[in-house]
Order: sequence, then C-alpha cells, then structure tokens
Amino acid sequence: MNLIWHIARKDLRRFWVPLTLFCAVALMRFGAGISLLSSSGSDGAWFYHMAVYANVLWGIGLVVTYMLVAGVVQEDSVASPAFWQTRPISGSRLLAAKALGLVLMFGVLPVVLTVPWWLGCGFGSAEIGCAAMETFAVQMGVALLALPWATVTGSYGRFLLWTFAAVVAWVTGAIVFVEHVTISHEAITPWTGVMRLLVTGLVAGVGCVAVAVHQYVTRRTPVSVALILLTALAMAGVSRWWTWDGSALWSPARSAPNGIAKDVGVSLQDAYAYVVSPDNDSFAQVNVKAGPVPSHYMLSPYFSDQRLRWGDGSVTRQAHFQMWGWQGQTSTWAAYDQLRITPEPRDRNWTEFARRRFLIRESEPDSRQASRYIATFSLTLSPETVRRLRHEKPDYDATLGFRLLRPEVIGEHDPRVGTVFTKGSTYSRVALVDRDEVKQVTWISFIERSPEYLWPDFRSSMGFAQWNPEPAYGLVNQPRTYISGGFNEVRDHALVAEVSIVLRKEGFRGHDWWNHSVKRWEQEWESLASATLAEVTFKDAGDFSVPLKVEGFTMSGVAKYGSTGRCTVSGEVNKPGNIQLAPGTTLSRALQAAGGVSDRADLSAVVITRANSNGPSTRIVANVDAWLRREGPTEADIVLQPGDIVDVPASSAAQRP
Amino acid sequence: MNIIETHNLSRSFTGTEALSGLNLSLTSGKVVALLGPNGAGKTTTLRLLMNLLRPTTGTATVLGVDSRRLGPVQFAQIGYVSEDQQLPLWMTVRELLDYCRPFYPTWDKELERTLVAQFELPLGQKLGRLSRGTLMKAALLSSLAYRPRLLVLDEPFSGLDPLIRDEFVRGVLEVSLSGDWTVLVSSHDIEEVERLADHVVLLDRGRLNLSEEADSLQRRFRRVEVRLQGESPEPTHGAVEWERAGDLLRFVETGYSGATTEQQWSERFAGASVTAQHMTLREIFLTFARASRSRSKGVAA
Repeated sequence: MNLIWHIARKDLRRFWVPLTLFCAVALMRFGAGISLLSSSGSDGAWFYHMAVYANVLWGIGLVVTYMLVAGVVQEDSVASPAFWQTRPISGSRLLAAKALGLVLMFGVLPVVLTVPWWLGCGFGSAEIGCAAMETFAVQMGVALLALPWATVTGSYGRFLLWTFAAVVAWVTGAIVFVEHVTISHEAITPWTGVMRLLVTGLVAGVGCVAVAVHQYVTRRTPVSVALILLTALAMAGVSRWWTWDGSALWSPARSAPNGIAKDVGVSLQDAYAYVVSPDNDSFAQVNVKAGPVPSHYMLSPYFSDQRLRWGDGSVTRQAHFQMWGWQGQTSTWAAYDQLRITPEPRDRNWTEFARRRFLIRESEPDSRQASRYIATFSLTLSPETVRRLRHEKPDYDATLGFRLLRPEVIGEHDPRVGTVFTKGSTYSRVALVDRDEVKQVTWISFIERSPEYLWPDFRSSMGFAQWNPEPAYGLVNQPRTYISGGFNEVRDHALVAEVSIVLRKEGFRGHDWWNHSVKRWEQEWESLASATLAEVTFKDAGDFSVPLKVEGFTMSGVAKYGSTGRCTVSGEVNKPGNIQLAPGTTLSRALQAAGGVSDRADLSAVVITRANSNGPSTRIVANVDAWLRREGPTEADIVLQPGDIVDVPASSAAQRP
Repeated sequence: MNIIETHNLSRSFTGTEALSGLNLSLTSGKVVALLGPNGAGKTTTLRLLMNLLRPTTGTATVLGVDSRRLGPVQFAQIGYVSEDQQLPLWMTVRELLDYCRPFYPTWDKELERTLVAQFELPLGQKLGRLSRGTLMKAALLSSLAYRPRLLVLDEPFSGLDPLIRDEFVRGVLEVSLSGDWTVLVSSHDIEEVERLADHVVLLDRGRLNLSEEADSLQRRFRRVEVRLQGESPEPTHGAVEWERAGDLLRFVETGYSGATTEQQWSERFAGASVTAQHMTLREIFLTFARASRSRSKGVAA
C-alpha cells in the first residue's frame, strides 16, 4: 500500500502543472456559472453566451481529463519498454497506483473543486451527494474511455491516433449498424431500449477495465487489442439482440400507487422565479435561468417564436428560448428559458417581484436522485399581463405536452376520462383521451392539482419538459419519448394544469437522426405548444369546461404582497416545527413545507390557531381532505399569517391501538 | 548455479530474426561482456532477459526464473541500465533516487552517498538537463545502490568520453568487490569492456559465435609469424587470417595449447623460425569480426 501511494504521489507531482490548468478551467466554468446566477437577466444574448461558454468549458474539462488520463498512464508505459518494468514494481501494483492517482486527480479533485459551487447554489448534503456522485461518475467514465487506448499504445501520438481511429470506427460502425441492421420494433418495450443501452454501457465499461487489467498484468499488447475488438463486438451484439425488458426487476416501484409521475417515468418540476429590473421599451422579459449542476452542463439551445392571443383579440408576441440538459435517464427542459414578450404597453409600470432561487427537483417518487438542477428564474411581467390577470380574470389554462414512448405505458393505467391518479397531495384526473391512429399519437389531458405548485407570491408557474426514458438517442433504432412542457396556472391557490400526453411511436434511423430527425422533432415540438392547447380547448368542453383565451401561452403572473414571518406546524406532519412564511403562503403549502403529512394524519380537521393582537386567538378548522378530493379548482386554500399555529390531528382510526 | 540460461532463445520482429536459437549459460560471479557489431542482437538479447520483450520461441531463465515471470522479487536483485532506457527525465537526480529507494529492501544509503560523491552527480539537476554521461551515471547509481546480484548494462559506454567511462567502470568494480554478483555488459566495442570482462559472449547477426572465459580465450589465441624457407604449407585447422608476404607467413592460431601446439609447428615449419605472441581481447575480437565479415562476403559472392 505504501508503495502504491509512493507511485501515485510521484504521478501527482509529475502532473501538477496540467492539473492546475485543469482546475483553472473548472474554476472559469464556475465563474461563468456564478455570473449566470447573479445576473439581472436583462440581456438574453449575454446569458446565452455565458451559458454556451460554461458548457464549452465543461467540454474542455472532459477533453482535458481524457488527455491527461493518457498522460498519467503513459508516464509508466505498459506497451513499450519503460523505466518501471525493470524495477521491482509489479504490473498489478502499478495498476493500483495508477487507479488511485486517476481517482484522486480526475474523480475526487473535480468534486472537491465543485463543492463550493454546489454550496453556493444552496444544495443540501443529499443534493451535494448526488451531484458529487454524478460528477465523479462522468469523470471516471471519461477516464475509463481513455484507458484502453492509453494502455495499448506506447506513445502519446499513437494514443491520439488510436483515439481518432476509434471515433471514426465507432461512427462508421454506428451508421452501418443503424442503416443495415434491422431491429424489430414490435418486440421492444420502453425499457428494452433503456436496458439495451445500460447493458451496452456495462459491456463497454467491463471491456475497458478488462483491457487495462490485462495489459498491466501481462503486457501482451496484441491480446489486449483483441480484447478491445471483442468488447466492440459484444457491444454491437448487445445492441442488436438485446430484447429483454428489464423492468421486471423494478416492477414493484413501477406498480406503486404513485400516480402519473411514476407511471410515465417523469415528473413535473418545481417552479421558480424571481424578478429583475424593468426593461424600458416594448419588451417584457422573462428569463428563466438555470445553472445546472456543472456535471450536466449539457445544453443545447432551442428557439421558438410564438404569438399570444388575448381574449380581446390583441396579440402579444413572445420569443421563447430554451436550453435543455440531460442527465441519466431523464432530460430536463428549460435549463435556460427566456421569454421576450412584446405587449401592447398600455402602462409602463413594471412590477418587480421578490428574488428567489430554487432547486428544481426531480420528483420521481422513489428516486434517490434528488435535486439535480439549480435554477434561478428571473421574471419581469408585463404590466399588461398583470392588468389582465388582476382585472379581467381570464382563465388561463396550461398544457404540458407529454409524448411517451408507447401507448402501453399509459394503457396499463387505463386512461379513461375520469381516472384519478394521486401522488401524495398531487391530484390528477384524466380529462381527455384522444387517439390518433394514423399518427400513432395519443393525447391524454389531465387536470392536475397540487399544492406543490402553489407559489404564494406568484400565481404563475412555468411548465417544464422532460424527455424520458431514453438516456441517449440516435444509435438505437427505437421509438422515443418526449415530454414537453406547457404551463401551470395557479388559480385561487389551487393549481390547475392540463397535461397533454402524446404517445407516439416513431422509429428512428441513424442518418435520420443525424440529418433530419432533430429538425423535424424540433419543428414538432414547436408546433406542439399551440397545437396542444387548441386541441384540448375544443375537445375538452364536456368534462372540464374552461374558456381558453390564450394560445401557446406559457406564462402569466400576478404578484401578491404580504408580510413575511413564521408559523408553526405541529402534529401529524413529517417535519414539525417552524416554517418561514412567504407572502401568501397557504395551508397546503405549509403542510408541504413541513415535510408532508404522515399516514396517521386526519386531514378533515386541521386546526389553525391564529393569535390576535387585541383579543383571544382565533381557531380555524380546515378540511384539507375535502379540498384535496375536490375535483374543481375553485375552493380557496387558507392563506396563513405570521404566528399561526397549525396542528394536524391524528385520525381516530390511527389512535385506536 | 547459472545465473542466466537460455535455450534456443529466438526473437523475430515482423519476420526478421533478430536473435535465433541462442543457447547460453552464464555462471554467477563473472563480468560477462556481450559483444558483437551493431545489429548483432545484443540489445534484443538483453531485453529478452529483462522481460522487456517476449521470446518468439525458446526460453530464458534469469536468477532461476523464466524471464517471462520475472517479478518484483527478482527485479529487486537486478540492475538494468540501457543507453535507450526511458528515464523519468522530469525528476531531479535526488528525486530519482528518492523514488527508487523504497522499492529495494537492500538499498545501501552509504553506498549511495559514496557513489554520488564519486560520480560527482548534481543532485538538484533534472535528469533531462544532464549530459549523456552524467545521465548514464545517474541511471547506474540508481541500479547499483541496492547491490544487485545481476547488473545488466546495455551499451553503457557508447558516446561517453574516456574519463566518464573510467569513472563508470570504477563504480561497477567498486560494487563488484563485495560478494557474489554478476555483470552482463553489452558493447560493440571490445575496448570499452576489455578491462572488465571475465567472460566473453560474441554475437553475430543474431547467432552465438562464442561464449568463453576471457582467460581461456587469451590462452588459446596466438598471433604467429613464421619466417619460411621455400614452399608455403596449407593452412592448418584452427589457423585463421592466413597470409603470406614474401617469406613471411602470418596467421592467428585459435587452438594454441602450449607445448603441444609448438611441437606441431616445429614439425610443420621445419627449420623455420616461429614466433607466437599473446593477443589482447581486442585483437581476438577483431579477428572474429574480420572472419565474420569475410564469411558474409563469401555468402554474398
């Protein structure tokens, strides 16, 4: 062990200069991230450039990792005569030392560097843990990728040559594979694709490790090269023939009564917003900014230009800009989101809102992948919007368009109109099912209500899109899933959202993906926002009658002001104690903030004790249960005041032994 | 025990045989000179012995272990210095020694200090900035300080000026004074190793030409001059470089064995005066080299 550390320390000494540069690149990226998060958000172009800049730096960091891994390995070459080989150092000991060095340099160091950034983003320990694991995994994945080439080549030039050859071979192989290898779509389920990719990745990882171990222990380069080829063949074989839907392995989680979020494998995101200084001309700016956790700065821009039609026929134009990021099995839209709204500026009194910063949570119930994205959201509302919301009270309903992999997913849950899914305090009811057999598209609209989306100081939230469950795309000939976002509208403190789910089966071929599909997909996406709303509006009347006044609208907002303070939540909640009240915090939001109610809670008689400065305290009994069960969104939640004491009693059934 | 043994050791590089069928056994306690012109297969042999190359066919045993299975236990007793060895050039001499030291249980710090002083090594200098000679001395030092049982030197002297070469040799000899140890040193120039060699191994185009004690070589080689009267006799077996100029006949006797040989000469060259001189290793080596060259010419013709 001492000798292993002795060798690893030698490598650390050897590479301190490039490592310092590596750290510098990382810090520059955080610099970009900090300026993204702290900017007023008034300049979208600047923001865009900074985001791109941060991404490029992330990419550079990965490339540098790849290169340096080769440097560290070839410092003590295993494919050509080297100093260590005639010294009392065994191949396995050297391998252990190199592994230790690589983990320290390219796994631990980046994580340690990033911790202040995460802390600055307001991450808790669980989030930091997740983000650290991700960062570590990505870094080590890159290192693993470099290992086979670094170990079988004797010089750096050859390493680069092999890398180049491998990339060319991979791309060629992929093209040949998707062009000439037919995979039946009939046999595969959504999870088949996932499993296939997981197993292919696993084979690749095992292959890389095997090549490295073999090369270090025996130094028989030709055999190691053969192992590389074998790995490539195995990967191709798995991609071609893997048909097992591994979801049986985690079916208990799947069948859990968790509602739609689990069923479709995705979830909505928390909303978040803050507001910046007013713009001065005819643009209202809405900036949603997200500095994703650095490990998934993998964003690509998306633009749309939409027109908002108001009830009186006037039109507002909004330019919508999104970037998406992906991680693991889910993708999240709106890592960066900017809206430019051109209103008819009747009054120019801009409203400024509080500034907030939230983590967007992945609310997949059983997922331990907690918050993955840090996001801030700047929002300047057009006075026009405010005026309309305040005085005209139009019903703005939102759509979230979900496009799923295969109809079976939803089919398992019998998406008839009226079917109710509940998840915690989230309530979703299917409002509309419409199948288009020709396009193989199924639209399902939900009415959704969730205290989670009640933002007391905003009566607006943003819809987000996710993309699931295909972790990567392009290589595998399979249908795909998108989940796109519309918006949620808070009305009277209850959230009403229509969620459109589009189930589509769509075979992708490689060159399609390269050349056409992205474009086509983006066009579809673009048309989706407005199309969804239009369809829903006209077909929805029977079940959920809402006059729709906005087309393609993805945001609206209203400010509420009030004092801040604290209230106490006690009784059958998961985290009793004081919670901070934002202006307009409601009872359900407070229960949410207190960790949710326990299984024993009796929600039919939640007691709020409100102190009065000049008299005895008031006792309010709220029937949250009824509120939750209610299908219509009209019932008001109770707005808490500072000093309120909320007590959730245990149900009488729970009190009996 | 034979410290090195090879059986039909062969190695080819993309079809070309660099070494073919080498059978060699070297006892310990000797300084063995591995000689041969450039391209004779010396470096290949040493690399095969050090497991830097794998044999195409045949086996080599070093310190009683198959060369392909040489591990830390053996390398802790082996020192290897090669002219084209990859050294961590970014290290200073001190760092090199600090790096090497923990790997060797037998590292002798006293000896290290002595050698540093004797070689006049600049400890704070990076290896990459050292001259060739100093670099080789640093490499040698890092391979001597643990008193290896087997020291393998691959062309250590090429390009060194005589002064450095001398220091180098003295360093090697210093360590060799103590205990049972073997040095295997390759060179294309006999002069470099003449002072050291107890045993000479001669390679020529991948084949073993000779493996013999230096003493025995010098015993059996004689440069002979005969002042003839009359007829020139045919060359005898064992006599090479047979040439006649006027009445002077010169040749090299490779099978000299004292009185017996002289008896034969006096019978053969009756009446003529025969003078036989000792030959240096260098002269013997040159004789071999010339013979090899004329053979290859013969083949070419």
